[in-house]
Amino acid sequence: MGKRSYKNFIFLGAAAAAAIAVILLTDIRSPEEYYSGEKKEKDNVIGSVTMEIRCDTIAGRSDSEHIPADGVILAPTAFDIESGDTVFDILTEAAQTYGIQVENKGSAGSSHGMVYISGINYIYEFDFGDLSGWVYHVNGITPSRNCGEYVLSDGDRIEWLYTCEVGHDLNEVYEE
Amino acid sequence: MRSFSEYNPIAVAVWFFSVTGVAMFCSYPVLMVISLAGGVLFFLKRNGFTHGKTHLFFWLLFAVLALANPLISHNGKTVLFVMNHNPVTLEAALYGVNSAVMIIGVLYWFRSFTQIMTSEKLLYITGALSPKLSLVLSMALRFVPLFSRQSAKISAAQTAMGLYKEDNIVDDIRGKSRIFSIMVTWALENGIITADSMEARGFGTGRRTQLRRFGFRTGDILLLTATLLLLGVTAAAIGTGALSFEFYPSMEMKELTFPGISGIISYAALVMLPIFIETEAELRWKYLRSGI
Repeated sequence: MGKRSYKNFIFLGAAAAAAIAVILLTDIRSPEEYYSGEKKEKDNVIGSVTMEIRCDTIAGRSDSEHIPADGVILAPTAFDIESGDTVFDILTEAAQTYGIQVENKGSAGSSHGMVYISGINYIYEFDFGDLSGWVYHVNGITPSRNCGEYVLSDGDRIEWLYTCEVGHDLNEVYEE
Repeated sequence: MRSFSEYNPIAVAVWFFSVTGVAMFCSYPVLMVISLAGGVLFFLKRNGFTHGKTHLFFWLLFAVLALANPLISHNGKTVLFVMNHNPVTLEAALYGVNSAVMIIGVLYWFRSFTQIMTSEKLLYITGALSPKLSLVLSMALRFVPLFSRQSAKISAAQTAMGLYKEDNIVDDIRGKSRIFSIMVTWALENGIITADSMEARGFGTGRRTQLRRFGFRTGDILLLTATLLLLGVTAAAIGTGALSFEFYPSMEMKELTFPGISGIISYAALVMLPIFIETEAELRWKYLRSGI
């Protein structure tokens, strides 16, 4: 190796560590396995919540086949929760169980999840104007946290709603 | 009998911007493939099988662009696999390939454009529109080779001073960023000095003159009308929605009607125009030589 500097190995090590981290953080599954339609088995159930997905604000406004006429993408459905489950966990569980397409941006899965839901059921943010997109309410209240951060408790009622005016066309009630 | 690069710069520029404009503002896959094929063919026709590095860079970029889209966009019905709770779909992958074909096609066209449109020709076009724009352009074009020459000089000076001579990547990066910082300072200063110097020598006191004169001959008029005619048919086909292709959420292609087909044919003809001209010039040259 002669006069090779140790700094070369630092650089190579850092690059290798980054590559390994990317591979370890990537979780790849086949569509059949992911959208299996089976309910996820949970061991330490602490209660149940209900969730619904609706797009009333745009129902009938487009001839797209993905927008249901009554605006209901997922009728209120009960889900079991374990301690620490977030709104994002329940949404992905619903996506897997009922085969709903969901696109998220951000880092899901970590303890400080910064997740943004950009599309559900092929309906995307900005599809109906610059102020449109998906928001969620829990027990009728609009949380000011991202859905990967909101930890659920027993009996919570989650609504995923499509808005055309950053939430002002929905019944918004802000948390204290 | 002229080769394409000898035509009047205005006709050549209009043709270039028609071809690249359609490629950039439309995403119909057939037109994109025609544009890429034409771009590669034209580049090969002019340069033969040289410029291997350029081709390598373009096709590496093609692979990166095509692979990036399905990792970023997850729209689409045909799920290939699910990665970190996001579906990776066939539609997003094909959309990525389509936009990569578009970008690489346009890059090939512009590589040929910079070879044909020398700074002299660019000044001829922009000088008619605005002398100030022409001045800025000429200075900017001069700056590119000047920049690389000057950075080689600085790098040599730094090495002579004994800096960054160790063989390791960290020092290399530090040295390169230092040279870049010096370059920026030098470039800003040089710009001001050049402007002062030009003013002192009387730039802008009289009418700008051209070194070379470009006539406007019958061939140029023919090229210009053919370009505008073919562009008109293509633009009409795109504008009326005869050529539309939806990628998301599932791929939908509108059935091809007469305006759509004529749009595709006229774009192909537009792309092939200079290749026809070059081939014709080449054949006639060979024929004349055979008669000697």
